[in-house]
Amino acid sequence: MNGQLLISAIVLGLSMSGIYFLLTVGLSLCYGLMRMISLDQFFYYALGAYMVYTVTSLTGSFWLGMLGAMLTTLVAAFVVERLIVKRVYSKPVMFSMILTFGVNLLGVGLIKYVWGLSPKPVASPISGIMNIFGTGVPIYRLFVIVLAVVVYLAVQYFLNKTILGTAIRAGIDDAEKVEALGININRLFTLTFLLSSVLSALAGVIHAPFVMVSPEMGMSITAFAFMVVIIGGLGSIKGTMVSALIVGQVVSIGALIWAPLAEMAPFLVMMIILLIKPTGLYGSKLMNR
Amino acid sequence: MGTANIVEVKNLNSAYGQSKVIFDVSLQIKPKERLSIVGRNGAGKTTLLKSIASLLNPTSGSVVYDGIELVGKPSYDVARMGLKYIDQDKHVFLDLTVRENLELSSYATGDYDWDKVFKHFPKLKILIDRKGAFLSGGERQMLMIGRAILGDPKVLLIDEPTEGLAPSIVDDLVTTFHELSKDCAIMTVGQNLSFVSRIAERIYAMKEGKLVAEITDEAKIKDNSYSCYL
Repeated sequence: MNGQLLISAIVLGLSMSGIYFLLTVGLSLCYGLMRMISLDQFFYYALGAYMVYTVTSLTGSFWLGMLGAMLTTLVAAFVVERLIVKRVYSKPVMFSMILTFGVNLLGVGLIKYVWGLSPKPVASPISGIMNIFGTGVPIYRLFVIVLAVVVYLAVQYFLNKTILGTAIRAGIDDAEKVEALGININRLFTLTFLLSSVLSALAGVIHAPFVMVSPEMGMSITAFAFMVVIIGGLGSIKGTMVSALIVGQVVSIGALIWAPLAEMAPFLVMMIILLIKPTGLYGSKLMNR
Repeated sequence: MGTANIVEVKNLNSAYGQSKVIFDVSLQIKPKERLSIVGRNGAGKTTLLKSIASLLNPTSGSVVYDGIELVGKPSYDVARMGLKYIDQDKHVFLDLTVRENLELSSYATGDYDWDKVFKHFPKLKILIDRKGAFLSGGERQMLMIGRAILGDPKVLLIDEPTEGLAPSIVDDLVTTFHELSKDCAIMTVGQNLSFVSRIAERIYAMKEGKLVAEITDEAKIKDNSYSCYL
């Protein structure tokens, strides 16, 4: 195997891992705390990509677009949470799956109505190539990797070093007992949902320069996102990060070996891991609520 | 309120779905008293406690705490008002340290005076950085009560406090409950009659979702003569 191709594939895999992580950390948190499968996160991912396209087109600044995308998604997610999602927090997981799938479909329809069907290009905000062991690597890909690491550290800091994060960790363990202490668990649910949605939007924003932004982009990444969450273990942030790294590399290096492997290999890895550890790599036996 | 009772439960009925568990229960808790409810498994003791603490919505009836109707109020509001429920499963947050468990309770109540916790449970100070998962059953019970007394509650509802605990720990709990009751009422439920006879000033016997007897006579409490109701 060509060394330069391998380095290129590893960096590409790491940048994809970063995007998978940002998209799936919210899914994992939502399941961990609220026991809901929030399929509308894929709408926020696409909305983030479309908003960065629009704001960048209007202002010429990708960074303003990033900010605009996250703020727009925050408002959209808040409306969805208040009007729809909060009604299924205490219901069996099937309710949230069906309801948020409906929100996702509605969102995709809205995107088609507003932006049309034709894919939109978003230019990379960072041009230039960095030489790594003789291989030219786009700096933007390195930026995506660094951003994902920074977000991972920030989420870990929030969960482990702040009182709200501590309450969320306690709620992942047992929400009823958090309430019994005198903490309004519904506020934690709202906070977690909004945090998840903004991170999904950020995933869409940073993925936009890699792909053509299209209404179905959320749908096409769904399978990989769920693979990451399941391999990592539902509710585990560390597991999500490790799993995103595995899936990113398997997709990237798999494609280098034989193109169809990019689609097949992650499923194979998931099957093997689940056979050995059915709760996922970092899934806890505590998750029994 | 016009009465000396801190909690007044009237005609309380509770159910899980279609299955009715509590039938027209009325009881009173006086300030700073130690009260126990005894009954067999399935008598509805836990359901009654959860209904009083608003962790379960009663189908009908009334729970008045310190002059305020609790039915319909969210459980976190009830806890903040000073009526705390301690579960029987000795479940502390396993991934959280003792410090973090206490911090959560302080955050909820605004009470950061942990000295009162360490006064009753000095061992918790030593275990402050230990995760809940690595605490023994007795240590978990200490932490659960320690968390609950932050915020200076007026009533503690404690479900099966001695379940799974070593006899020496149970002895310590007896002393602790006597100390705690100088500041707040304690209502326990359980089947450990030896423990109940050592802490209770008054007992309700519960059978098939109904309160079938009230025992106030100290001699009857001490000699376990209420066991005939179980």
